[in-house]
Amino acid sequence: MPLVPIHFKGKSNPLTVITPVKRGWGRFLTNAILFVFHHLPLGVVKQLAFIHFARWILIKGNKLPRLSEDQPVEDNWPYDFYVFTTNFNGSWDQYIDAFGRIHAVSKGLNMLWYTSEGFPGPWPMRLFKRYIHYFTAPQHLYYNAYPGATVRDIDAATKLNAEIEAFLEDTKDEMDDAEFGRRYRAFVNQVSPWLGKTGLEEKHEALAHRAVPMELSQ
Amino acid sequence: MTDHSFLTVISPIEHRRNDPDGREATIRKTLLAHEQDDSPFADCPMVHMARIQILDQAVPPMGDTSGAALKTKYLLFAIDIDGRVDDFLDSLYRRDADFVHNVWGQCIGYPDFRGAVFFRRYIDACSFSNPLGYAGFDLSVGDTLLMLTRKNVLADFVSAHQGKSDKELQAAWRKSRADLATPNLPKPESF
Repeated sequence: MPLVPIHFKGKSNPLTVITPVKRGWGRFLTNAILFVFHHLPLGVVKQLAFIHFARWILIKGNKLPRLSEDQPVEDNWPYDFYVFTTNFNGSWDQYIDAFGRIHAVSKGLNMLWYTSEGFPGPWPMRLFKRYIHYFTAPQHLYYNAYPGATVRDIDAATKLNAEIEAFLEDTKDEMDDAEFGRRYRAFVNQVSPWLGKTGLEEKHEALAHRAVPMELSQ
Repeated sequence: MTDHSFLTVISPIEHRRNDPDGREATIRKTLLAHEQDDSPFADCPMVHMARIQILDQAVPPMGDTSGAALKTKYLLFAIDIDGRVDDFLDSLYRRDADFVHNVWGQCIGYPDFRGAVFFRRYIDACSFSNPLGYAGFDLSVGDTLLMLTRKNVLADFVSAHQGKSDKELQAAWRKSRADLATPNLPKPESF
């Protein structure tokens, strides 16, 4: 029987959470909250340094694409969709813990999900995690252009790059060996915090597998 | 520095029971074949991350017993890219038209004609704009790969030349300068 991987290779994980929002005031309030957040600096999220990308979008439940006369009208679904997609480094538990435990982040999340039906707030964690888990949508295809790099790796590489450029310029001409040695050691001392090697380690990729879904294996 | 674009697309797949035309099965098989390797997005140099999900059913709030449900299955497609969405869609269609036809071509309302322009129009009809987006860094895909590669080249150089004399160091540095200045970039998805 063919097997398929149970998680995606690399150091970042995808998460999609689709929560229902009541139409009317719920929709209006959500749009207002998103408008306010559009104009706020998200510096706190940046400090977390393990989120590649994140986005929130409100999709009107009565405006889902209906592209054929045969396709039924969605008149049995009274909610809008509040879609949160993110890519993060580390485990799901750590990620959700950070959301709940860092005060500024949990306050922001409380506002962002305030209009989602049944949202218990980021605290206590048990209810918050159950809520996120309940509304998580499974991934069927996930692609990452640099699976071997974390956000911290990219941040370190960015800082390192400026130093490399400067040292390449500094040493473009031949010089006295002792002088070169002195400059090289000073350069390495300066950049050593950012020098950890990055990339996929195939031998450490412990991919668990699951069976192909029955409807496809017949 | 670069501008990131976010695209969110929801396309209807099938509303009849048991997938009589095999549309959903075709989409699932195609996604399964590209789940880990051989991703068509790896050939589009502007894509940071992408995901495709089949929404079999919407989840109502906990405790909602009204029977609220969607009547159609939907395909959710979300990507983070550099630059313009249309450029990405053209690039994806040019690189792997079969993938496009085996995924979006199976969705309701996709035109019977082949061509990037029809793909663009279809995605436009199904896309939702104005998300609240956050990107952890401002680099393009190319710049990210360049900087990560340089980091690795320098790490290798430093570890290979520990304890060398100043003369050997300078000679080795002169030899390796070009590798650092213009390293061979890995293909997206392989780093």
